[in-house]
This record gives sequence, structure tokens and C-alpha cells, in this order.
Amino acid sequence: MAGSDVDAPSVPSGGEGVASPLTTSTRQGLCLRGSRCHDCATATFPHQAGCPACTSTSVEQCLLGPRGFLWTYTWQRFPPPGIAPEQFKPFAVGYVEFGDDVRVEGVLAGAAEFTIGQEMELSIHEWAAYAFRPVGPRGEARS
Amino acid sequence: MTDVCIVGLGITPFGRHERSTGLDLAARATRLALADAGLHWTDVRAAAGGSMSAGGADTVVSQLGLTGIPFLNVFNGCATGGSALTAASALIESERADIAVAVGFDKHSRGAFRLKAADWGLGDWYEDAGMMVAPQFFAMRIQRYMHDHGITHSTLTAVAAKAFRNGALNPNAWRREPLGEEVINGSRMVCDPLRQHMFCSPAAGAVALVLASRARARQLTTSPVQLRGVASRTRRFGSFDAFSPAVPVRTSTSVTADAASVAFGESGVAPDEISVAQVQDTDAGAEIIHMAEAGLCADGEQEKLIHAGDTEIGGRLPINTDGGCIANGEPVGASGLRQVHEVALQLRGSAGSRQVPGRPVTGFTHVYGAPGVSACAVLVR
Repeated sequence: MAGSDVDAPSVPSGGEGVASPLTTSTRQGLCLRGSRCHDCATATFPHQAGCPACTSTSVEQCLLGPRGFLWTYTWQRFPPPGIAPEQFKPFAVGYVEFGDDVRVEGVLAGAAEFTIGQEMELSIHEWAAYAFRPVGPRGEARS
Repeated sequence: MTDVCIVGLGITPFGRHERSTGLDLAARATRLALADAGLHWTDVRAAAGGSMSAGGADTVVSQLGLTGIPFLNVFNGCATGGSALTAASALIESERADIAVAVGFDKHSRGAFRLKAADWGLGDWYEDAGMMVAPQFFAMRIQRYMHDHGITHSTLTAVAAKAFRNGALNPNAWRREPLGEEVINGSRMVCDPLRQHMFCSPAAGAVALVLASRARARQLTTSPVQLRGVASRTRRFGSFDAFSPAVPVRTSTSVTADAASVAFGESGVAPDEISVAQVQDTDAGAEIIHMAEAGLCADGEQEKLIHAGDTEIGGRLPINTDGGCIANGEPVGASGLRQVHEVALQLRGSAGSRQVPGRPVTGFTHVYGAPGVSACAVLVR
């Protein structure tokens, strides 16, 4: 049985806001902190101590983002359990694809409509740990 | 091919049960299944069962009788019933028992399931972001599937309309009123593109099956339904499932495809030989996707099949003939066994006004649960 020395860096899987363990600010913009496997190069999010693809425990932190493309989305139109109806406003949730690596789920913000394939950028958010916003008219789209 | 037969079927009405507990329903379904098999609880050598919100399955022995049998409690989200069947079947296969009971039951509070992120291996941030909501996953999955495979909104509506039409023929269904397409399309949007009448709702109900070895089954009945293949699987890397903060881009697998392929392989029956099927319709989109993932059709082919009526009770491949989760509601622990109950009933030719014509010989059942679990079975008479 391997000792605790094989455990991954001590990054908890939860947190809040821009300074949280889930995200970090870079010169390019806000990025997600995931993990990448030394053995098979698979990236995942959030950081975890084992590789979901090849089972290796040799993983290191990696950064994902700040930009990717919207892979799918939906609108949450009823208050999730525990949210009072008067405090609730519908919001969008989706997966953004970073390179040919990984799609990450998150709250979508900054628009009233979204389209699969549009370019999105990671940003801070008022109540979610992070959100994805449309890059804007200059952003390219792909299907 | 397994050596297991289904010799007893028991089901309670699905829906709201104000005066019964989930365990009461489990006891009632078990007694009905035993009576159907011509057996007593004292004949049962082992059992497996589960619920999400209605207590430990083994507790039901206090109502049925304290006979000392081994009783495995299982829980695999919405796939719990399938796991109970897999476990009970394994007890027969391993000759630990010649008669075993699989029982699934539940009784949920009204409204969407309240799930805690920590129970699903996720940080609180996931719940705090409002993402611990299962309908979001089903909506995002069908949204992408429609984009990739040309499925249209009218096909979602058609699946929901079929569910209510079939539910109207099923005395145990919760929703027994046919709903027109305009009513379905006029219901409120829940998670785009899925509307209220395209989703199942949490409910109460119980199902029990009595399983027997082939030798024992021959003594009990001249027409047992054979459980020719049964398999449960967790997801492999690349499967897109509920409550997944990340999914890979380059690898694509499906836990449903994995479980179905093992069940079909074990049975010696091919997907195109199936004459009646039950696939998990948590929502109308899920039925469409699961048809292809299980191998019953190609991706995108559903658009044509469904509009041509192929999945109707009189069609080439009737699907969810009892109204599915959409018309029966979703008691999480019970649904997987309701799938099997319905197909067994159809193979017996005892499905009443919703009986598939021509006495089907082969049937398939599928159940899917978060966070990426599936159980499938192939039945032959």
C-alpha cells in the first residue's frame, strides 16, 4: 500500500470566487485549475489525485482556458431545490470545450441567448465559483 | 445465457400514495409477485432491493416475515432496480438460492430531487452554482444530440405524447390522460429544450419480481419468462453523464451502450431481434438517445422511426408500452424493475389493452442513473 506521498498536491475540490482553488488569474485571463496526467496527458477538472482515463496517480496541476467554445447548454427555469422562488432568476448552464482536451461545465452569463459553437471566456460571477461569458462579436464560432 | 427465469410479477399503482409508506408498497408488491408465482415468502431463499428515499429494503422483512434469508440492499441512483435484478439473478446463478426476490420501491417528496453535492463526490461549489439539478444534464445532453443528429423538437413532443397515450391504457400508471401535442408544447419550459410534460416527476410506487432457477421454474409454470441476459455497468472514461464537471473531448463512450452490449452478448439475442423494449425516459430526449445507445437503432434514425409510428404499441419496435417514466412518474428505486415487469407482462401476453399484437417473443429493458450507471436485460419467452 502506497503511503500518503503519492497523494496529489493539496488542492481542495471546492472554493469560492476568483481566488478559489478552482480558478486562478493569469496574464491571458482567468483560468480553471485542473489536473493533467503525467502518463497519458488526460486533463480533467477540478483537480483530482487520480487520472480518470488511465488510473495513474501521477498527475499535476494544469490550467484550462481562458477561452473555449460552447459545446452544449440549457436554461435552468425553475428554482433549484433550496432556492426561494422570489430570489430566483433563470440562468443558463453549459459545457465549454477547451482545445481538444476537456469540456467543463459551468454557469453561463452575460447574454440572454446562447448558441452551440460560440466562443466563450471564463469570468468571475456573483454567486457561482466561475462563469463563462460570450467573447463578443469578434469571437469566432465553430460547430 | 443465464439460467434464471422470472416466475412472479408484482406491482403497485405508481403516483401518490398518501397513506402508505414506501416500505408498505414494497411489501405489497412482493406479496403480489409471490401470489403470481404461487409461492410464499417462506419459499424465498434470498432477496435484493433498494430505494433512494423510502428506507432500507431489507427492513421489509419485518412486514413479510423474519425468515432469516440474506437480503442485499442496493442503491445505484435511478438504476437501482436494475442493480437489484442483477444481484438477485447472480444469487440464482451462483446456486445460492433457487428462488430469489428483487424488489424496488420509493416514495419521494414533491418537486425536483434535492441532492447534496458531497454525496456525489463533488465540492459544495457545484451545488452552490445551481448545477446539482438532474434535469439540466438531460437537457444539455439532448440539446447537443439534436445538434449532432438532426432530431427536431416535434420528435420530443411525439415521444411525450406516446407516453401519455400508453399511460392511459395502463391501470397502474400515474398519468392516465392522453395529452395532445399542443398541450405538451404549451407546458412551461423547464430546462430548454425540455418542457414540463416531457419530464417525469418524482413519485411513489413499488415493483417486485420473483426469480427462479430454470429447474425450479419448470416446476412452477409451463411458460416462464427467461432472463437471458442481465448486466449492470458504471461509466467508462468518455461517457457523458449527470453531475460531471468535466467530460473529455477525444474519447466518447456510453454506459448504456456498455451495459446493453453485455446483456445482448450474454443472451445470444441481437438488438434487431427485439420485439418490445422499455428504455429509460427520464425525459423525452432520454428515450430518443437511449434507443440508439442500446443499439436498437442508429443515431439520428429515431427522427424517422418515431414519426412513422414504429415505437407505438402497434409498431415495429414498441417502446415504453406502459407509458414509461413520463406517465408512471419516477420512484427511483422502482423504475428499473417496472421496466422488466412490463416486458415480462408483454411476453406473457397479459398486458391487457396495451398488449403488443402478435405475442412478442423477445424483449429488452434499460435503466440509466446518475452519476453514470446503467443496467440492461434481455428477456425471452
